Amino acid sequence: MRRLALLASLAVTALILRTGPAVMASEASPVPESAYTTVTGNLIEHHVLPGYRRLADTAAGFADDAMAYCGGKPAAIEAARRSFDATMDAWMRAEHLRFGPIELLMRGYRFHFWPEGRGKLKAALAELLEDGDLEALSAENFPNASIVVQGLPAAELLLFGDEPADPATDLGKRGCAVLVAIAGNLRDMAANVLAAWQDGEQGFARTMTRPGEDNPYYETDRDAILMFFKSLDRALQLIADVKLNPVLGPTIDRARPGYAESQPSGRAMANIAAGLAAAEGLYLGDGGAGFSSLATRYGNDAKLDPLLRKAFGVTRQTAASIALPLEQAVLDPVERAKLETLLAQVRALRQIVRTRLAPAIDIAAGFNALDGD
Amino acid sequence: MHSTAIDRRRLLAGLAGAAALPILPRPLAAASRGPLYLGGRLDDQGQYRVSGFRADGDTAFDLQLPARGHALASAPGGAVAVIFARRPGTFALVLDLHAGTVSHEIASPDGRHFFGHGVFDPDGRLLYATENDHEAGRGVLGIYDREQGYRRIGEIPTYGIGPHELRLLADGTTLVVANGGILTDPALPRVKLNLPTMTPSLVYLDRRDGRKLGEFRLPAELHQLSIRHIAVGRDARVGIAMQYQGPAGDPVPLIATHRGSAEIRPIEAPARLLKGMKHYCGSAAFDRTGRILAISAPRGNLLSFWDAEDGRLLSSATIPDGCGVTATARAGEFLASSGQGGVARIDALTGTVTPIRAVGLDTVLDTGHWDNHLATA
Repeated sequence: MRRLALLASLAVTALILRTGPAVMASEASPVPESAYTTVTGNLIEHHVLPGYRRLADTAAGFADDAMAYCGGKPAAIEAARRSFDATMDAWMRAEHLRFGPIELLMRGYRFHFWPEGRGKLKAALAELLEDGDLEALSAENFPNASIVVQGLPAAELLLFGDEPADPATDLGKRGCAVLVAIAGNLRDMAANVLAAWQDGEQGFARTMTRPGEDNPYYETDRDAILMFFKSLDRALQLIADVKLNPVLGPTIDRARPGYAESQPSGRAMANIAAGLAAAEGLYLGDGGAGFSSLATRYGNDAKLDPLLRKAFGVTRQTAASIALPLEQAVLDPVERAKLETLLAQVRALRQIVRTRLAPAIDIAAGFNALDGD
Repeated sequence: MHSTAIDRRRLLAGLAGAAALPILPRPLAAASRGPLYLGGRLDDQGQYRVSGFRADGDTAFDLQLPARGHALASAPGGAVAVIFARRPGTFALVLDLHAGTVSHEIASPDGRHFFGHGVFDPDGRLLYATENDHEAGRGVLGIYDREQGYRRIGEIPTYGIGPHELRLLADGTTLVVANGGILTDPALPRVKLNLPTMTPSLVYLDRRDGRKLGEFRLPAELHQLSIRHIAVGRDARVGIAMQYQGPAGDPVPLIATHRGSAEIRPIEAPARLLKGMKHYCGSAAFDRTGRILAISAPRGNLLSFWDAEDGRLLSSATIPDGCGVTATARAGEFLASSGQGGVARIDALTGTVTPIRAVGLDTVLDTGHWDNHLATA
């Protein structure tokens, strides 16, 4: 609790000291555009491409294992579940990146559409399982199926849920056909996303690192790096506001385990840990130059980088200390207290990122103090 | 102006110490000084407020809100206005503009929450508010009666998901509502649950019986273009400010007009201006004549001004994080507020920006962060 209090008080101090002044004209930039270019290039090389490579590799493995299992090897279900898990983990480490090729053709939604609202997935999956049309599951047609049945949550239901894909039963065979279609589609999408980033002159890596007036996406290097900053903010927001707070509910009596992510496989906490690792990776740079390198070289906030490093470390430790699946932890007094600490720490982290990191690296102007509506 | 603002802040910080300075409502014997302007904001201490000021720079009131506010509805006559909680909020506060106080607190009923906008009838008696029926995932308008202490006396459906801004046409009976199309659930505040399948609409309703008078949608390929903010000009022409939920880089229109039974007509903006809006328009307002349409694009720090009747661009102006915009009493003139603090007058014909200076020790005009909308009382 002491740590929590420390972080919370630091965050409040940050807010008070750093809330922007009232200006009607923007001030001169202390960060040269070339510094943004360097970090953007580094983050693509060390964060984005390895992330999508991991996704492409795990999804290809999942497609193979789903095929092997459904091809008549019931014992191979464990291998299929493990490679599903690896694919989900890879997705959770890339989920915060919502710009570029993942954004086209609704790929992000097709990969993992959650929360999907009011049991839409179960209903759409049931409809697909009842419909005997095999044509709908072909590699050509399946990308046009309902978005909720195309993604990892649908595969998860088939591998861990009540109506499993099973090569040994008639109903299960239909589930297997759907599972194989999902896994193949995920493999193709992940491969396409990676290729679209890397595709030479046309690649999105090049688009992002060569901003300009003719660039349809980014006019300046600041525009480009802002996408990474938003990703960092988004990663923390998803954890706090979507993955933790709704499940915790206001009190233990009003906890809502039904709002947990990845319920069939029970990996909600693993998703949170992966998201935190991704956020920390963006900040530290995953072996290259991340936001940390800007925070230490520019701005006048000498305490910011040590504070953020410490805050990421403490928050990840708290996440790792949760000893039960999220659905059970919110109902357990001891684990719940730790989750409440985790929520406060993630929120404090986000506060520091928004109110101190943004101005220190001079991108606050592109990042509204108040979200729109 | 800049250094003055900072000096004033330092002075205030020194005076205030740990305690907040009380800002006393002052009597408004000021009708001669032009209209009262209203907006929600976040002050530098992190407190959400609703504030009133005049264009000469004088603060009329500066009241605390229980949480973040969004838009205001002004009752005809200038004595009463309501600020709605930001979605998915559960409060609306009725303001006595003469006294500078809150006269009523309205709570949304169980199973409903406010979506942030509303409008009064021409008598100032009935208040209509956009609301979410989240169990059913459908939009409604809650109806509140001033004569019964703003009791909720009924509701009518909006025939869409996620209604946001609501306006009344000059006939006094036709409501026009922007169904943004985005499904949300108060248990997951502000998470968008249906972006791949959203279908926004502009719906006209007869406020007397809730009858649907018209329903208009964008072409199917623009279904991720959320119709969120609207304003009504002369001859029942509706100006529309939109937000795109699809991929960055898609060259989609963000401004449109609509009138009568015609299709929604997108305004063709010059490519550079359109790109500068960053897929996000935040507010729409007509000037006093009802012909000039102001559209704010806060993410692009841009305001643009259009002849709504022929779609011609008149001018544009730069306001950092400028979102709130409302008409002044002068033809072709608007006030715009900045999310970084400050309010300016803008001449729509030339795009000339003139910041308003605060008078006295009041800080409403030169500190804090203005929220998304301004209103004229």
